[in-house]
Amino acid sequence: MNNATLEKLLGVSWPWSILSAEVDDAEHLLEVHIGLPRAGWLTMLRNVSRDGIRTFVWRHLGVGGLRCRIRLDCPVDMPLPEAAWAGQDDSPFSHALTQRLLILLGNGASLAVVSSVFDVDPQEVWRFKRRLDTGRVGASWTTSESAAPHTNAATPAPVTANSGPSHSNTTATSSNDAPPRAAGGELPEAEHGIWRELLTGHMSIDIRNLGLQLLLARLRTQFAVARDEDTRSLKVLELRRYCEKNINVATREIEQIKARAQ
Amino acid sequence: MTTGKGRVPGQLMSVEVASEYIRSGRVMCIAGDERALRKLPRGRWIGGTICYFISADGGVTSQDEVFVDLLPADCGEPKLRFYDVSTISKLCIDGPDNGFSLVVMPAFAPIHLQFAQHAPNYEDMYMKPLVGWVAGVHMSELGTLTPKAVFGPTGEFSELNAVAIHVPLPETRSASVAIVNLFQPGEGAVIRFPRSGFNASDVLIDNQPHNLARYLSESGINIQLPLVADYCGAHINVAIRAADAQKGEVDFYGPVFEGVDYRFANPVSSYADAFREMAPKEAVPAAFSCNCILNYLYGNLEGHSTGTLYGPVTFGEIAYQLVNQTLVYLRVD
Repeated sequence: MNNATLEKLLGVSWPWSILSAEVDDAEHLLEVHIGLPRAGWLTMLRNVSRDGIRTFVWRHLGVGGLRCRIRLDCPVDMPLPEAAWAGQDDSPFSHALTQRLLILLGNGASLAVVSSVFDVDPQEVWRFKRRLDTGRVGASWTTSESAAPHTNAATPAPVTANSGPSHSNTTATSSNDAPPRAAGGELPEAEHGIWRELLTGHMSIDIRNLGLQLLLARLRTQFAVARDEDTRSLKVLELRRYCEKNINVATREIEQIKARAQ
Repeated sequence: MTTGKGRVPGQLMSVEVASEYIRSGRVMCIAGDERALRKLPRGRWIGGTICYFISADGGVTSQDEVFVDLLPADCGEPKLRFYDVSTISKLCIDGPDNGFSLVVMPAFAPIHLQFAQHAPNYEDMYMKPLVGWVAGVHMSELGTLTPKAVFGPTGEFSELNAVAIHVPLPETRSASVAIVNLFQPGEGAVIRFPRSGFNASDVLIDNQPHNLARYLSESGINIQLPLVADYCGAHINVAIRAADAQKGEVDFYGPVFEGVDYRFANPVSSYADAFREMAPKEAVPAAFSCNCILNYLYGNLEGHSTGTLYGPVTFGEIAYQLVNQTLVYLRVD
């Protein structure tokens, strides 16, 4: 596969280009080196030296059965690209991989499953989740037309538990929309605003179940420091998952949630 | 105590009787002095060292008898496991989807400190019931003997590793964890810590920077009273181990957490009376219970009845996370 095809597959677009791409057969790894074109007018115009380059490395979604590692050489005075293949400066994962990780975590997948699905180190996933939980890193990613990838493989679906402010990469509930209602006797859907009210502390219920008390206290702290909607959505899903799993022991609390959601 | 399916509270018993239960194949958690535990046969049990107990006769110290909690007879096949510092974070995900996990770990070991500080962030924490206790030794043997966790299937005693039993329950039954905390947060100053840990020096007291050890000395606060934090209605204690005003340092039995508001507890006039009053008045006995050595010592519980929750008196209690100066119990409905 030539670089132009790979650029199309990964969604690498101007001013960035693939400088090299190599397959490490032993590691089942595709190493993609991205930067400004070495002979391009932009590079010459900017007179970029090696000293003026920051190098970032992110794990990205797999390509053709291979793990994919992106190395970006970015001039210090240029912002990081808002592209699926790029990531935040303090994240080990690309935006696209981050979104996929969040979807699985939000659906209650264990770290072992998540790391197995994406063939990433479980410790790395755990550290990443801790940094999300403590607000040290965000999961948000704003796609722009120029950065939009050209393949399905590079276009992650959003984390869907949003009823908060609109976010470009998430399913948001318009302020004109009626809030989703709890279906007769069922736990309110993740999109229902009641979960966020509980997590912000704007709504309180009488909680006597110790597990829920401790979990909610932790989630409220994490929700308050979360950097973006996707991370907050993850907290919503975690709280709702507790209620689903503990319907027999947190009965009175869940009944209150259902009643308030009506 | 019967060997049938009927649930009975845990009991203090001789090594010989406990051995019979082990040989009968029952799944159990056993607390006792190391010398007594070493006389027990191998089998489907986990345990830990301690020689203080709350029994039907009240608080008692015994280095000859052992305290046995028979786990529900109608549970599924339990999994008994060892955990070290590198695997303890998987404790919760190893728990059954419906059931509970019971863990015992040795006091002062790195795994105790690891669990104390990081358990709230373990994967699946709070999602499934987790109870347990921290093994200790007779107070006169502190420094000469080490607390140990015991893995019944192999008879191994460990001063480093934790042991756990994961007990699945039938769909018709469910387990839940609860606590009895005698301490209510007082009306005093709100204390905030700049970082999580087992010790502190400079803190925020009512939003003003202050040295905690000197504040304790100046205010004449009784350090037998724990700091209490409110976790969405659950009062969680952190007990003070030592306060040195000259060095300006305070050590805790459990970690304080950054960003949490703490207050010193109101005094309790009679621990035994308060426990009897606050203990649940349920017909079905708890499947497991433990109480804190500090309650035992500060509340002078030896020889005094504290209600119907019986169990080992421990160097730390686990109700999901590590708690201090608290009675923890497990209900199986």
